[in-house]
Amino acid sequence: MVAAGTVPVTPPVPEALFQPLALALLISGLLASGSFFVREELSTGRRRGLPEEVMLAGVAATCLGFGTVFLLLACGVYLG
Amino acid sequence: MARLAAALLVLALAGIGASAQLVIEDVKRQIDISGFVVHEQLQLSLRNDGPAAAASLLLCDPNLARAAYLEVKDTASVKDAAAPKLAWQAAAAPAGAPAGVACREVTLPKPLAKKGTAKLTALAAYTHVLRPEPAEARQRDPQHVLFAGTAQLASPYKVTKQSTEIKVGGSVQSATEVSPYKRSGNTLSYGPYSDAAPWAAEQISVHYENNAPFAAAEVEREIEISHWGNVYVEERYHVRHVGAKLVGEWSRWDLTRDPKQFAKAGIPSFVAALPPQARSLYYRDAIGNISSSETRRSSEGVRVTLVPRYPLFGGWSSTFTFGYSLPLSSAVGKEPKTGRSVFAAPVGPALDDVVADSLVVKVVLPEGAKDPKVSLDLPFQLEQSLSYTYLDVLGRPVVVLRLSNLVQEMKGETLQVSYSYSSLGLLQKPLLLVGVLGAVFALAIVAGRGGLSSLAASPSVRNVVAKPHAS
Repeated sequence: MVAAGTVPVTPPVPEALFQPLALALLISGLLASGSFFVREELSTGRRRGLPEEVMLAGVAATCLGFGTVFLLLACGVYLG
Repeated sequence: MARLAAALLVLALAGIGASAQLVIEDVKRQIDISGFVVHEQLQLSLRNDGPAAAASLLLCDPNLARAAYLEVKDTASVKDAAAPKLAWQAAAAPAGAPAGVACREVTLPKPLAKKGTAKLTALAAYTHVLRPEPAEARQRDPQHVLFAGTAQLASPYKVTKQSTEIKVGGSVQSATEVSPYKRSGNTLSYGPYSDAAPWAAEQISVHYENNAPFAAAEVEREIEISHWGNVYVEERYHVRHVGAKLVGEWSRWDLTRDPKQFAKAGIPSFVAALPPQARSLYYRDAIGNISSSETRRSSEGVRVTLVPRYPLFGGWSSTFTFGYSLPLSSAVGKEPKTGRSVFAAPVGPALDDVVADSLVVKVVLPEGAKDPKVSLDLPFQLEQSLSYTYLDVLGRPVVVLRLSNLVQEMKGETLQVSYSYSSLGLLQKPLLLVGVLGAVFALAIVAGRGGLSSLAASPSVRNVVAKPHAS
């Protein structure tokens, strides 16, 4: 039981969502990074749009980063 | 230096003078020696016969040096449960005390006026005061121990009337008889004694059978708080059986066949009581998981019976780790006014009826927690350090408390650790990962544009990069 006069701290993301979030974020992250590398390979010789590349890389990095965190949380490794 | 000595002498004389004023009208002592921990209860009423008001009372006993706790309450007007506790401090035994007597000075709620009376109840628990006698026993032998105490209260004051009752709980081999003395079943009654002079306390010793579990342990508790929703608790025990040492052969066959006969003073298992929300329990030691345990869940709590790989007999010890997790909302709360997070939990280890000779509690706070503050009603030593767990860059602040001589009654004392931590700090680790992965992608972008001369240097790499597009 929490100390008297305090309100219990609830985590920002409910625990039931760890697994579905991990799955969704990792899948979308892998899709995004896959499409990033495919774009890299296919577009040699043509002018690539740097903003689009950076945005795709950003989306992939964010999804993969948060997906790894939720994967760790879903496996019971609660990060501090 | 001389002035300091003179001041101390005056203070000492004043102390002696003050203690000579009080008279204890009546004291009833009840001593329970049926378990490993000796419990003593005193109900005393005192009167101030001196000219000046008395601010404090000296309580002395040969066993007080081993007291795990001493609780004194003023029960003159209020019933025991609601009475406030009185402050006490260790004091030197005054002149004239017999050797080996330890004293505590109890501050009275208000100074006792001339001719005033007060009623107090004192409770104390003593650890490691029962001596196994004989010191060695075979597996089939019951355990006999010796208790050394006093028939009267060892007091620096005159005692008008007193009586002592000792609850033995096992068959008595021998007991010192100080008349008037009565033995009814397993209770010894000494007294009533009237008009005892100061320090007129006769030594008694009781030799009796005591098969209670004599378990003493060194415990290390590590609590790790994660604001993603979990509090890990891991307890590492080194439990020793401090009763009569086992001699001769020990037979597990005899033990299994007839435990009542062959495991009288052995400790077969430990019981732990956990909060009802405890989950992810584990019990292991250096070899690996220990599967001999039983868990019962109910709305009041989780009761776990831990059966070590071998029962503990006298002189044996067992080292193991027991851990569990708690949901964050059952252990950590936020103060609405200051915004600080407060972690609150009982300070004692989960195992019941094990005397903790030394207890180290480490509370690992989330990375980025600032300004930790500790509050606990027991004496402890405090240290702070840093710990590194998964994905930590700067380290997590750790609050380390060291306590000693904890008995069952003290384990429920609440430990509160408060710290400031905002939920935004949770983003630190995901953003760290995003940064690292982003750097990898940035490297790929730069390499793709031929910006890294080292990558573009070797012709084979250039061929690999250029080749798939030839077709």
